[in-house]
Amino acid sequence: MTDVQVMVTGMGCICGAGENLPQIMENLYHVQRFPAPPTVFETELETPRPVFMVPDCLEPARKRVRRRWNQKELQAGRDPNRTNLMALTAAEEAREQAGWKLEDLQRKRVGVALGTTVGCTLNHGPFYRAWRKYQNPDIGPVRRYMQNNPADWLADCWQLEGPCITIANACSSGADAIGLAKLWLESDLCDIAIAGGADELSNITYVGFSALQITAPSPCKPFDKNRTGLNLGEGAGILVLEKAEEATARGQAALGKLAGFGSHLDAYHPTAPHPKGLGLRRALDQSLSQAGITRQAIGFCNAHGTSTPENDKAEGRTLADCFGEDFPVTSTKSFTGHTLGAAGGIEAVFTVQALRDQKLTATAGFQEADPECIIRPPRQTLPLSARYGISNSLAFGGSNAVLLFQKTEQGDQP
Amino acid sequence: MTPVQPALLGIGVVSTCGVGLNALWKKVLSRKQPEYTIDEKSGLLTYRADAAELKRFMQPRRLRRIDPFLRMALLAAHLAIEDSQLELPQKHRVGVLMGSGHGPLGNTFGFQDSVIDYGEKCGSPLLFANSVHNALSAQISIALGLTGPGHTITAFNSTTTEMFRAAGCWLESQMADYVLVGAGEEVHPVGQYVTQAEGATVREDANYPLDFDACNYRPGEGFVCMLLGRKPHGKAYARIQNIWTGKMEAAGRSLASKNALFLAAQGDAREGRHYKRLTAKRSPAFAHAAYYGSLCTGDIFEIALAARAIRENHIPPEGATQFQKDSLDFQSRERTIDCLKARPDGKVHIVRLNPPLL
Repeated sequence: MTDVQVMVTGMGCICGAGENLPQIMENLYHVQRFPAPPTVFETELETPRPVFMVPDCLEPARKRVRRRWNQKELQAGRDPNRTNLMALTAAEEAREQAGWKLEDLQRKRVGVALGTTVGCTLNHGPFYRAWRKYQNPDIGPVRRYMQNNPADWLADCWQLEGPCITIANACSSGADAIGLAKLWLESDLCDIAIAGGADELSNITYVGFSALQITAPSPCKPFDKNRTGLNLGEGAGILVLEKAEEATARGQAALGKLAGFGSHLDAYHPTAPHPKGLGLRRALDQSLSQAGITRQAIGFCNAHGTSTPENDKAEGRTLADCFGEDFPVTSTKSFTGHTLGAAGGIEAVFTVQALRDQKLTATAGFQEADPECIIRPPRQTLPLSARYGISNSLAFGGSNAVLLFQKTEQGDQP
Repeated sequence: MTPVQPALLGIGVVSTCGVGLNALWKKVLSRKQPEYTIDEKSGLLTYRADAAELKRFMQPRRLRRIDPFLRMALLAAHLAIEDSQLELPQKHRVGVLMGSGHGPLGNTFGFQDSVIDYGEKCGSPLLFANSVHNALSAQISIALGLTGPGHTITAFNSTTTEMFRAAGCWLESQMADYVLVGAGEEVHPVGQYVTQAEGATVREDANYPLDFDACNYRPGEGFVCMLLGRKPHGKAYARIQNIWTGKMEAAGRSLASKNALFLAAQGDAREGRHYKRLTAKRSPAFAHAAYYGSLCTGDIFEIALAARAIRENHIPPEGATQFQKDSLDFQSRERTIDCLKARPDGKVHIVRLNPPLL
């Protein structure tokens, strides 16, 4: 096993709970959430289901982009989509916290690994409708899609050279991107990695999840007995990861350590999780093995916790079986909605912050325990005494990812 | 590259030349271009692939909800495992890493069709579920019972390279003992429309894809899967010695002059100018898109052919393009092939293959 230690030196987040990490954590700790009918796209559905939208705060990022590329380049497709504006906003926050100036990063081997779903899919409704009607539509939207693959776009925006990958692994994409970035660092493919996830709300996913009948008509209630489904959300969560030696050399304090990553497939069903959490257990054990610790050392879990009947039942039972009925578990999707490819990135940020603050956020909406889920998330923010925390991501197609973070003392260098 | 140099243990190909790497290789040896269709709307020469042979591995009942793109991927996956002659008893130690430039376009637009035709209330849940890009790794893992790590990558022209890089990391970190990697595309009318609008011309001349100044794009579809392992066995094709990514200006320095070059050129003039510079005064260089078509994951087809050439100790002449008229045997050279992919923006990927060290 490698002796490279992968440290978190910067974090950034934007989501339906706020436009930066301090604001978001404030809302989470005070159990404030803002579900609303969608306004970032139109829908024909008669009873719009609530979503968690990012506040109207993306304009500064757009202005920065306009300084990076000229008008011709922007028109040729570099003009960012909403997913990439959110990714950039979160990445800027993370980079600033990590103490990196852009020009210094550009001289390093910096990898970019981002997860997404909407951000890498050619789903431009007006273009497609016009094409269907033989109207020979302008291919501008397709060019823009081609120039907006999230990892590639961000690497190009910041002029970074290193491995660059967009992972489209549905709801575990963001966690998988962070896990792969850890492996890059351990394999010495780069010295620093910008990793996480970003995804925007879209009419297509909104209608698609409605078709699957797994969206709730009201604010979601993860792990609650009366839960009826998920709420979609949007946002981005980005980590700056670097080798401990790199952070030490420049005197940068680590916010936490990414101690383990596990990924396993269920090979069970195209959309449903394995009822006994087969892949999740294996991913969990793999992350523990990488960290060199046992289950007893884990202090809490930021669960995938979508609030769908099947996910919460399979995940809750697996967690109870692995850690016991009273194990501290929460679902921050109750504040962010299910942000799909961004979820793993956003929840990784929350997990590191929970270790730093030694606080477990409530699961908003949770009222009545479900015997089928076994675990019981808190209704209010709780104090923690945890050295290690995990973040679970379970995806369509049976992909399971577990990120295991270790607390570092505040202000400590790695 | 990671310290582990993954061994290519089995290869499965579905292409317009037929099913299996052998079908593609034989077509290259024949120096005759495969049959193509002419797209009615765009007039583009198009290379279609057929995955009907999948019924040799899967019951028709299990294929009811599997679309043509996934069928190609599933067939290539089965073929790669079969070709490796490995039993793979520890399924939880086998990872699945799939990729494509654009995901399952048929399902993506199929779902939109269901919404446009019948309203948002009646969008097809099946088409939506299958339009999620990781349906690729999901369906393959389900069909083959593979429960190791699983990712799907959508990174346009960088998909193949980054997939191999990630697989190397999984093997090195011991997350998996074997990794089934795969990439490919499907032809879709929207893609044809965009290609035509971008200025692709329709020519049947012999210099596709190596007339670097022309935009002579022939949309192709197909899928290639490869089983990678940490160590080669007796049947291994090759190993991946190195993966390099960087700017065009530095790429020339990373190419060893003694190595043969396999170009993933696809008849796109925006990329062609980079290939032109990289191959100037350098030989031998080969490109085989004339046998599988233009697709942004075409580099995995070149890697498959390079692996076969290393095993055969011979690179056949490039009959279809008349670019490389002579065959090449490796007796006087190292059996090393650099598979090169240039992107329109000048970023270059190089995957270097050499013989397996047993």
